[in-house]
Amino acid sequence: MKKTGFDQTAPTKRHASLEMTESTPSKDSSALKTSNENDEPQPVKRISDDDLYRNSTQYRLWSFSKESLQNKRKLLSADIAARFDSKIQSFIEKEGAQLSSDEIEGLQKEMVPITAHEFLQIVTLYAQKVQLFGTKLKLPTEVTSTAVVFFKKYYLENSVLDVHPKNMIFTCMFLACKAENYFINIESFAAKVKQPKESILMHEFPLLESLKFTLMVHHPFKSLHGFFLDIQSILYGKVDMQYLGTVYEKTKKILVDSILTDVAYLYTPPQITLAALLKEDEQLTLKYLELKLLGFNINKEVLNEAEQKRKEQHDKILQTVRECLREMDVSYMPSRDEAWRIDARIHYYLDPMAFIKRIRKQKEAQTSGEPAQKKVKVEQ
Amino acid sequence: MDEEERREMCPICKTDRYLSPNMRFLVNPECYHKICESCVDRIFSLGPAQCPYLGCDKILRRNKFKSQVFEDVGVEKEVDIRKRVFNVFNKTLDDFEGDQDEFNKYLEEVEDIIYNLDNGIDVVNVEEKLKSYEDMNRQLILANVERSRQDIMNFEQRQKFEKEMKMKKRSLERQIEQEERANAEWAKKEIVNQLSMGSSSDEVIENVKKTVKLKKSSARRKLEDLNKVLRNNPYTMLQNGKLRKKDVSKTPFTPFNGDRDLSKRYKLTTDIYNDPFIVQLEKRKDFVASGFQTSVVYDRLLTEAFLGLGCYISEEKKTQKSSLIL
Repeated sequence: MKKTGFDQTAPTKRHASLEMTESTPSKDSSALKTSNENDEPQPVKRISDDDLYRNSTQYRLWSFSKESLQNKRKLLSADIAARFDSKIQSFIEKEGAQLSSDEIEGLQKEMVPITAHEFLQIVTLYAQKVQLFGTKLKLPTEVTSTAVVFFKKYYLENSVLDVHPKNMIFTCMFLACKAENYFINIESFAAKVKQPKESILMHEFPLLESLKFTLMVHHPFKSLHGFFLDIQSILYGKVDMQYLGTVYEKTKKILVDSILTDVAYLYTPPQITLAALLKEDEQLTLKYLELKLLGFNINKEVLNEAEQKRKEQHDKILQTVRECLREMDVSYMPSRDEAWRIDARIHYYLDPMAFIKRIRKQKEAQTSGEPAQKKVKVEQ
Repeated sequence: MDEEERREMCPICKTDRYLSPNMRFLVNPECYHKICESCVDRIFSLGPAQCPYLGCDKILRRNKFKSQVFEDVGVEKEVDIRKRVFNVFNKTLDDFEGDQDEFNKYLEEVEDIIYNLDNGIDVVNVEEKLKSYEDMNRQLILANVERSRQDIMNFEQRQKFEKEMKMKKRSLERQIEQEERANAEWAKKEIVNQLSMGSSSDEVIENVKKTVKLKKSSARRKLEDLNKVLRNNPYTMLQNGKLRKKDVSKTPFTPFNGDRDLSKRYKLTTDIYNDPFIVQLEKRKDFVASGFQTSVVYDRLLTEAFLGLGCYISEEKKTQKSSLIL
């Protein structure tokens, strides 16, 4: 069992609980002797809150080391590359007779497979769309955030070529409403987002499958609320309530934005929250961590053993939080131009003929100097 | 003719329920065609005959006819098949000495057989299998039948016993109630009597109350005994003549393999916290009435704040991943 920094903060309590664990087996054994001599006394096991978190699906299935996350994405993009290639091949084989050589060349030049990075960019873009629609529909922050998380998880398991991200947006939102106990029935939801309900429900089960039927998402918002309370108690009298309130609000905004990044896969909710707090007010957070985890002045030179241990834990947490903060600042949001280009490539992958048509149109516009639109009409 | 009417009418003799409300429908497990009772009597009284339904060439016997329990013939058929198969494949978990996996495999096999029989897949082979299993395991099957019969008997006995005990208890309770009422009456009269003799009032009341208390009835004692008997009910302990093993392991089940660590990473100081949102809720009557307590909310929030603070995913998952690959 891993020990955490906070076990040390209440030494008296800890001691008491240790004594309890020691005394219980002996009591057990005496009780057992009267009933059955053969049974051996079982030691009482204790599990910390961290172990509880390790039992959550968010930890077991949806937390990754940085490398394995990258590997997962690389696999997907390799798959995309292969599919792009075979698509171009089969398209040229099928329609090659009708195409001129520069059209084929242009096709091969334009239809570059989407890289892992671009994949991530386009998913992030549409994930932001989920957030926008969430605010538009006035859904609670947690519901919207869950929808975003679902969306991102779906595209961690599936490629953008399977289902276009724009078709997944509302399904994720609808499922998130159900998962977060904020139920809107499908008729009124479909009416609100102006989509046919079949198009929403069609993807629901594949989405559930991709989520491996794990719908619980531990958001950092609750954690933030908890820290908001604990800071009040630890820094009692040292911090202005009004100020702390604004810090809370701003940090919450940072957390909402952080959902678009990778932090949720790489760090636990409290770590993410602390990183956001650190970003919002470094001094306050450092002071809080110092008092909470160390309980003595950070500049103290000579440390006894217990203090040394605590300092190690404090440093480790702080280091993790800082790493998390760095990760939080990495944005995958594409610029409009980039987004447009990636989207176009997905579009052309799905329908290569559209690309050829576009090239032809452009060419005609260049040669004749007339607006392409008219020319096409005349031809027809 | 609509569906409803057809269901209420015998397709052979066209008698319908409207004219003969006592009509009963019977089916034969050979083909599950529905025929009314009088038709069955008429057609099959002279021995086996062909099913009167058009195009059905099954030969039916009268003694195989039975009344339909389920409206859906498919369900009825499956239930019959199940009954038949379970009469043969009647092993229990005990026969596998608690090996859950083996037992599950066995159940799966039985389900396959039932499914095949129900849907007419490879019936000849499956019937063969059923037969050979029955021949090979006759001894075991009989033993299991015996055992299940015993189980049912035990259960019935136990229920009877419990019912009796409950009846006794109720009558004793009624008796006690009556006695108490009589005692109270008696005490009242006694007090008045003694007061009329002219002694001091407090003393008299005290004395009478004492005597009433001493008159603890025999019914009450009996009830106590009965409760004792009920508490160590022999039938909960006794089954198949031997003591039932009570919970195998002595450690109680915990979903995460251990009790929660009692040392918390925070100190709950409810009076310091100033949370505008929660404080507001505390003032609302509908929240307070349903047992809303701020301390519980604070406790939960703080627990969640630190839930997983000490999990270093990058380290822990790295080792896990490599071990998976190996």
